[in-house]
Amino acid sequence: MEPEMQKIVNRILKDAKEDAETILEEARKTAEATLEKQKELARQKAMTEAQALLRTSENKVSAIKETVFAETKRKSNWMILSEKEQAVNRVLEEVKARLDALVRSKEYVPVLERFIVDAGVVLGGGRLEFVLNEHDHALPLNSEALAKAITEKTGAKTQFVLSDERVQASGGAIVRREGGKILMDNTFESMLKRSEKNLQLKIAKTLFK
Amino acid sequence: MLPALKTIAEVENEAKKIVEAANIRAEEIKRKAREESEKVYEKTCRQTVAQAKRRAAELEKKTREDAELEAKKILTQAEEQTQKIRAKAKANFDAAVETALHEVLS
Repeated sequence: MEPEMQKIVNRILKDAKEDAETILEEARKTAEATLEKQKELARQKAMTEAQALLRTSENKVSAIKETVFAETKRKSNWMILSEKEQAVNRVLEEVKARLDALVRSKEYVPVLERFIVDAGVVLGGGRLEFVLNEHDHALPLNSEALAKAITEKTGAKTQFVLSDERVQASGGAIVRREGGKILMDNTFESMLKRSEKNLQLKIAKTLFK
Repeated sequence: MLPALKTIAEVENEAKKIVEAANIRAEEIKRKAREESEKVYEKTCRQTVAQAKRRAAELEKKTREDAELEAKKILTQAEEQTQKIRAKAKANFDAAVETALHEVLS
């Protein structure tokens, strides 16, 4: 083949190869764009689901935080309150023990007499009777002196009778008007029960200052 | 036909075949891409959702760990406070008993 002809042949083939390469390159780009577009579409579609998932997760996370925090706070408060309550109860137990001991001491009679007088004064004097427990029933109480003290404090002439009944209490007395409808319960147990809330507050104030 | 023209015709024919083959190959590439695109779509969806699930799970795990750590701190503080209360209660026990007895007996 002549050189000139060869040149033409080469040129034709080169152009054809270049065209073919261009066609393939464009096809590859189109393919790539198609895939990329699909990926993007898929990402957009999945993103809605993913965002919903993350929102649910964020709600769950908030719930976890709140639950753990609330439970811990509750437990922590309970620990502190329980400790305080136990300490207050220990004091109350000791108070009961001391009252029990007081009953067997020589200081008890004046205390009991005061309780009886106080109750008689609250009832406004008059014809009264007082009820004691088995132990106190044997104590040398002066009913006349007690009645006199109440009379002085209330201005109402008072007569006192020791009842034959027995009260189930560790100490103190029940004083009632004759007939028994109105009474003042000054037994240790009732007094402790009546002033329980107030006592707990005062004990706590002293214990934890 | 002159030999030169014949040669050119043959070469042009060959060139045409090259371009035709390229067109066929190009169509094949595009067809495969279309077929592939469905799989890519599904795969991308799956991956994106799976990634979000992983992130959510990690977030929950971390939150739980942080919350437990915080809870531990709160309970430690409560324990310290409890010990202080115990110490105060021990130190002020007698005074509290006296206060209560005074309240009851006076």
